[in-house]
Amino acid sequence: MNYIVQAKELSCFYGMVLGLNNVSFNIGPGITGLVGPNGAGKSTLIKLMTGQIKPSSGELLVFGQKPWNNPQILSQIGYCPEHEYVHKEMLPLDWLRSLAMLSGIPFGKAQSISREVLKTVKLSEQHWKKKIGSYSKGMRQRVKLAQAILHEPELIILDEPMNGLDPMGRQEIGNILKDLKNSGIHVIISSHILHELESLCNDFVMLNWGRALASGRQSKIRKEIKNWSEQIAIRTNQPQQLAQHLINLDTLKGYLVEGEELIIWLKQPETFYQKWPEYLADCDAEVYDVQNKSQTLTSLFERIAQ
Amino acid sequence: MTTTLTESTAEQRPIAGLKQAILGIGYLRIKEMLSSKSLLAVFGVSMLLILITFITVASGNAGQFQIWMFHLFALRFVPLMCLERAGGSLRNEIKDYTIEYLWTRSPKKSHLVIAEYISSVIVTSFRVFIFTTLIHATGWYLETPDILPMFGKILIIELFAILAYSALAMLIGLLTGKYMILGVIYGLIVEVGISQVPLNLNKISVSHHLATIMGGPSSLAYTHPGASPIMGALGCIVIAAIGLSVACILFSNKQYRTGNDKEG
Repeated sequence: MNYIVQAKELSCFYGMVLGLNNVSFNIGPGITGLVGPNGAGKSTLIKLMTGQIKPSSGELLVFGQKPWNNPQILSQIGYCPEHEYVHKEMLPLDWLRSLAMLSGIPFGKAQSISREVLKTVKLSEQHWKKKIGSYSKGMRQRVKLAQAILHEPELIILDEPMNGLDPMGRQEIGNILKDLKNSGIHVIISSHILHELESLCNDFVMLNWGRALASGRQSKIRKEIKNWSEQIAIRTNQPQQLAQHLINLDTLKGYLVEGEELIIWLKQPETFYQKWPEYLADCDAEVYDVQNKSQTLTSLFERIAQ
Repeated sequence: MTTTLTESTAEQRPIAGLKQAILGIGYLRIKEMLSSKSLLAVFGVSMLLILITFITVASGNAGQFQIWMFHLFALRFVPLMCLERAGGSLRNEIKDYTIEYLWTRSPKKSHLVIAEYISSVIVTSFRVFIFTTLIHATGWYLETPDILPMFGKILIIELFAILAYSALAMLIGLLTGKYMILGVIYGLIVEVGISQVPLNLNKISVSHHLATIMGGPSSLAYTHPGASPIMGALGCIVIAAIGLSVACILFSNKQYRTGNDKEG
């Protein structure tokens, strides 16, 4: 597998303050999520990947090279920062044109590319004549994303791009990122809101307190966890009876009844899913809803963080 | 098999160089300079300078006009403009987090410094030209003799002042977030020569070289009456080159933290 980013025993300290502590992981192609709560080290890692700071120790490679003071690598990266700060007095086209030229795009071409990317991020033309300082948060996020894709980078790194966006805005940004992925661009995206990334990312790097807890596909991370048991919530008219039925079939590690909801921990999930219709047919209980609670990224992160 | 995307497998792209950095930063700064806020500030300062000229210069008094134009405007006001403009160019981007849009692109950091320096020189020169023209127009209105030859000479002196002071300001701005304070302290000690500076440091000051270009009798205690104006101009260029070189080295190697003044 070709790795886009490789970290080996990577640490970064701001004086006495811990940013990252001895983390090792690899990031492959596609969309990868950096997840973890505030202060986990996501932004530090992003600053390292975009060559804004140097590691205190260890090694970080992007496309096989160290990013600090490396124009070759920076020319392949598009970066969208977490903060909202932009050159407020500028019109979006002027701002993008200057950044395009800074990325080596000729003056004549910079204007047309700037227009194209504003269309790509779906910023409607009626807003192009307004100063960026007057934009709403969602509109600024779009312009920030536009500047990251101006120079057609191979890798886009986004720090909390969904922050402050309404659900529709989040979905639209998510769709744009999926389109970028489909056009062959790799994306690394950070968020402390885990469910945002669930439908978007194929791989994850989970960080907490400056440490990498796990990395890779969700399924792979689950397999690596000892004593992992899947948890399912079933809404039924007879939770106690259904629980007893499943216990008798020796399928459960344990269960919990909360009103109409039965929460069960499975012994062998694959067998359970295969035989679930049979189990139901043998029982009189009516089932209204079934939810796999442990398939969520949040539950996985909570489990690993323990 | 596990492999890494190495230089050979990753696409080799053209890297933006100094020319692209100058074009990109120059376009950004010129657009900022032409913003309504910036033009309003220039208009306000212009009105203030005209007012000061009316207050300080008596009608037909060339001596008073020269003191105001050279000793106060060119040697005191222009350096402060350079300090505010060039000193704050990259530093304010760091404070405002906007530097992240610039230094995560392919131009080298030293190219960013040079591009910012050139932009600062252009923007400051444009403003200084407007102010100088308005002050001389006021002097002409006040019937100051020999106003036209002085206008040309002052413009040349101001150009060298902007070249040298902008480079020093750039360096001071990259040294500390409190660049205005440090710049004023430097100016008082080295340029103005307050107190006895050890080793006569003010003899290598920009003011000294500008006074040498100006020639003729000067109230500056540290001028050399016999020195050639060309030597003065060369002195300014050497100071600019040294200041800019050190600024480039500093910005390329120091780790700046955006949003505050703590640096690693």
